[in-house]
Amino acid sequence: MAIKISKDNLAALVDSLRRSGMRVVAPVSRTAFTEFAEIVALDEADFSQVNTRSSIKQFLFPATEPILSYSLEQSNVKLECEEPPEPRKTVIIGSRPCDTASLPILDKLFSWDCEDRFYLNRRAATVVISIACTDCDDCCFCTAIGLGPDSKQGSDLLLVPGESGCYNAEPCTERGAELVKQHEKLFTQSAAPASVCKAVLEKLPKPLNLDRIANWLRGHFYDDFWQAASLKCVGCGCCTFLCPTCHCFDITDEHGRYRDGRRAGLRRKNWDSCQFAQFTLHASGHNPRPDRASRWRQRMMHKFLYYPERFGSRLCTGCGRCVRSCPVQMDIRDQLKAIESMQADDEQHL
Amino acid sequence: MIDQLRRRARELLTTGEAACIIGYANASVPGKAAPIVITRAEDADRLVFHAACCNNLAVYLTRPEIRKLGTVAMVAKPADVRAAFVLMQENQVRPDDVKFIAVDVTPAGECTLLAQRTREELLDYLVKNVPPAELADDALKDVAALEEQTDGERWAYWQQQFSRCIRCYACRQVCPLCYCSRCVADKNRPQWIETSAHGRGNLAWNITRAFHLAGRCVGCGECERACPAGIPLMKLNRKLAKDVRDSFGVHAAGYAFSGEQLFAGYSPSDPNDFFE
Amino acid sequence: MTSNIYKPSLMTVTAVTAESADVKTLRLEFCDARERDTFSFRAGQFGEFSFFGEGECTLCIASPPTRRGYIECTVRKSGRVTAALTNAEPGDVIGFRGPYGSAFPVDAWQARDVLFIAGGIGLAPVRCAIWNILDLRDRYESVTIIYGARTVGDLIYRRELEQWAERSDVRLVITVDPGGETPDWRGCVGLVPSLLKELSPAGGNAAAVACGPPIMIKFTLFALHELGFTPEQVYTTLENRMKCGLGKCGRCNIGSLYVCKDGPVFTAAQLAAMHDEY
Repeated sequence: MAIKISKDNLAALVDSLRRSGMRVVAPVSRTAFTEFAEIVALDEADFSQVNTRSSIKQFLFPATEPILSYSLEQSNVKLECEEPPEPRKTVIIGSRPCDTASLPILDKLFSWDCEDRFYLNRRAATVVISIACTDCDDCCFCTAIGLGPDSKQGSDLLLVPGESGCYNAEPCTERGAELVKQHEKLFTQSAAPASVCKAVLEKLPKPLNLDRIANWLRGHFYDDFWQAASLKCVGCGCCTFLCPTCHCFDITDEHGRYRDGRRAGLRRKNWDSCQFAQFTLHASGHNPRPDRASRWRQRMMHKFLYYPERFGSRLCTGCGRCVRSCPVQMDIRDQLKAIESMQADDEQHL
Repeated sequence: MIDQLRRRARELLTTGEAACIIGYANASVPGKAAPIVITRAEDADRLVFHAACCNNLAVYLTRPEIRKLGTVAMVAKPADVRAAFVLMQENQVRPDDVKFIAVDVTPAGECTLLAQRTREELLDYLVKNVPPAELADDALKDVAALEEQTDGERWAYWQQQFSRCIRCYACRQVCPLCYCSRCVADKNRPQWIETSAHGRGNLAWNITRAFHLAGRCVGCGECERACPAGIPLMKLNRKLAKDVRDSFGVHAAGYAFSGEQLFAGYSPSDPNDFFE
Repeated sequence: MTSNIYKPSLMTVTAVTAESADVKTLRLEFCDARERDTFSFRAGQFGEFSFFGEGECTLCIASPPTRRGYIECTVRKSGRVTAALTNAEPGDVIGFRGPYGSAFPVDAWQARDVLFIAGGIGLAPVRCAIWNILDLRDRYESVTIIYGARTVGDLIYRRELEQWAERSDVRLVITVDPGGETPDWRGCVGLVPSLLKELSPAGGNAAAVACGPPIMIKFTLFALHELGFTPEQVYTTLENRMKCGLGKCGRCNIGSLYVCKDGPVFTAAQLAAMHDEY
């Protein structure tokens, strides 16, 4: 039986979650930008925007985080904080399905072979309540990537805006079902299951043939396309840092203050970008990716060929942030379309 | 106007005066324009110029991939011409390697192709018609407002602004004058600037960036426009432009394509003795 | 047991050997006795070595797994961390994470001829395998080492080169690039690949290891091919830039391979199937 929650009851849910000691995070428009931030009451949240400027990635994989602290006194080294911190129990409300879909993708990377508990502990402590989209902008392309405005991937609970300010609610995981059960009184029976926002679907692009794209990529590591496609790229990290699925990082040490004659220091894990020249620079000065073309190729290949080959998911959810934020309007959709049609041509000539 | 611009571009490519044209084309996002590099005369029809053409195309003049193509002709707004002039002054670009397809927007908002083509003609045009935007009275109002604040208030303001920085370096990468092949932010012996996106690192980076542009910034505003975190970087740039003007009596950068630079020259008669 | 995969073990520097003007070898012992007793690795594996306050760098373990109780790394001063490591003194404590990555299949080389080819500091991973095999010498057939450096001053492990030269069960050939010789230089002058062709060791059932700068590797692999070595017989290690060593940080990949997990030891056959991104 379908269920729904009224706006008032959603506010009550927020209150209840906060009373139980959880941090509640939602999109807020406190400045010119809409960003995720902690809220104390639902009326601070702004669910009216197409999406936030940065993704929810920052709550699981922050731009910078200490992974070790130590203190030194000449050759005497003491490791201090050496375990991942206890994460704050968090509920994210109002994540868009494209953002939420990035979580199962990132889970694969951070848990394969050995577990990055910094990410995984936060992930385990975070409940995500997504809100399906009723609108999109010129940069959204979830439907091109096989997702949609009401995709459930990664959500614990999906809310679909329905009639008279109610949200139709669909628990997608046990955690989501548990949350509903704990707050049973706030949810009511709904006659109809959540209807997808048809208007937005019509505005979104058609699906791309992603297998066809992967096939072209597999055969065109060496191709003039990369030079042409990257010529206007200025090599900043906007696209990678705002991307909900980009996960590359650097590890660096920073000296801190002196305490009782010992010098404190932190080892940090910081976002890094494959678009930076230093990213792959060898100590010898040799750089396997010496130019913009090879770095741009890495970004496309990693997203649509390498990661799928290795982990079975594409590193893209169609959130459109890379398109929106690129200072030179590099448009990944144009490139994917171009690749798709080149492969279609190749297949015809076979 | 656009026909004239395309004709000129076609002519430059056909005659071989230029090997490539850096200009603007419409982006797939409606209403947006993007930089484009064309090498074939038949592609000249893709060039556009309108209010959404905001990038400072001089950023491409120092790019190895572009240089490899040969002589460049660039569609240049006044700020782009100014940036190209600073690059010439700083010996980063050989004057003869750049041709200008100069454009401007009239006060009434009309896009025009300028008749001026040579450096000298364009310099004359800039001096007579284009006062430095970064020093306009209106633009300096928010600088004055910041100057009136206490140190504590200013500190709090900038701490808050810089706290959003994610160190994507878009500000640096879109700036035509941030051309160093290895930026001080990427050097680690010693680690001048911490790479972490935390208070210290962000403060060090943003202040250093602004300082390195003192007397060089042409006020195009690209850094601020590109910043995905919405940091008002032009406030810093304007403050420095104003201080440079007030302290050294130097006119804004980019109004000369040769001669000495404010901070890159040395004279034995310098009143300061710290670098003797 | 820590749940922090980035947590290093503490190791004390017990000896420092200057190899050349900017290369040093550090001998390291675990501060924790239990770690010292239980630690094991295989030849060709690497670790993340850190100087606290400066950061981590990726280095192969240069000592053989047959020598218990310590490990060694050989480091060239080139960046922030390596500069600090080359300045380390006995008694200093540094960090180590590892061992990581794939190894030379030294057991599979038993009863076969083994050919080692190294250039410059590329001798470090090869040295690990060489001593591994020499410590179990009777299990292997002939052992040949070809080592080249740009100049005489760039040759590393000088004392060990002398030891190998004196052994009757090792054939050692050392060469320096033309122009890199000193007046009293008695070794060969010439590039490693051409010397290799002159020596023309038989492919047969031999295993060959080649490590060095990319250009040397390229020509060495070609020369080995000409000598009849199949790509499956030839091994090398790649040194793509790494940070985590654990298949997370995303910078060492070549295609969908992570050099830190799938490598750093690869056969020439695997190398031939990769794109030129190393």
